[in-house]
Amino acid sequence: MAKLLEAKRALEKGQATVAKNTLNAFLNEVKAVSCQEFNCPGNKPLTSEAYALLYFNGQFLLERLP
Amino acid sequence: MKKEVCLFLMALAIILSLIWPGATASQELRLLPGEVLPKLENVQVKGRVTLAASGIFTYAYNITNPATNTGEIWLVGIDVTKPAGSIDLSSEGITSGPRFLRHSSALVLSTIGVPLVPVGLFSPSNWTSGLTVRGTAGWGSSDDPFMIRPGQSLAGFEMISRGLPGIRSINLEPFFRQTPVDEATDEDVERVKAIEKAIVVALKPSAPRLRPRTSSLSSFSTTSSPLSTIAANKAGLRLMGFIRAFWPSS
Repeated sequence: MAKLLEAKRALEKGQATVAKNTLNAFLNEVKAVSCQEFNCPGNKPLTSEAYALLYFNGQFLLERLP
Repeated sequence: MKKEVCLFLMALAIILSLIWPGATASQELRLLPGEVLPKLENVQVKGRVTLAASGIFTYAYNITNPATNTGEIWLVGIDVTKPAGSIDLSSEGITSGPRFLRHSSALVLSTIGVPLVPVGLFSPSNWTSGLTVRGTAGWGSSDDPFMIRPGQSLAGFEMISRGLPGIRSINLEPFFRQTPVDEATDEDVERVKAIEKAIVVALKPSAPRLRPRTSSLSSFSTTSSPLSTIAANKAGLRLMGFIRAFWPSS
């Protein structure tokens, strides 16, 4: 959550590179703590549904940052 | 004496107000001898998404009907109406698999009057798929033995689209076993329609579940939260708000 706010603030200040790096860090964190399959043997905190929402929308945004 | 009458009337009014809704409901849902309303609770729909290089997402769902239910799931529908203000997505590369009801889906598209997100549908064996006039993309069991019975899980419900994952609703319909009648009257038809409408389960977004020890991110409960009905989760909503703020056309 903090990373998203940080990225937003960076973008508002026109610091696109900082925003990109922060968003990338956010996506890495999402990936690291998510289950990407139906089953979640490691009992990771983010389900596959949460992963899909956060990761793909974040990636969509990242691809469109200047 | 007058006071006692007033108190009595008040008590009667309270009792009536308590029992009246129940009486109305049972009147609407009139059951014939041998008919039972199917119970469908705590159904679990798990979703998984993959993104191909072509930019097409595959949404796969796995549905579990708990053994404690009595209802057998025979219809599944996901809202695919186009969100207001969203861009028109390309349907290039969006195809459907076997048992997709092409003609009825084309008819739905031409008559529904509401724009839908282009999707392609793939179904498990012995299930068909198609678009519905309710603005849903759905699957239906082609015959009795293939419904998702209590205690069973079924995967293979797949949808492809260029649309990003979002918050959507899903309907699950248990099969209602009607007592056969010699000749169905209009009243019979309306009676069964009312029952079938009442027993549809609309999954609601589930509450976020925090696990601060393992991560600062919120997690989602998967019970009754398929991909399309992701919970009103703080991190998810923050991200969606964030995207909307900068990319209003997304």
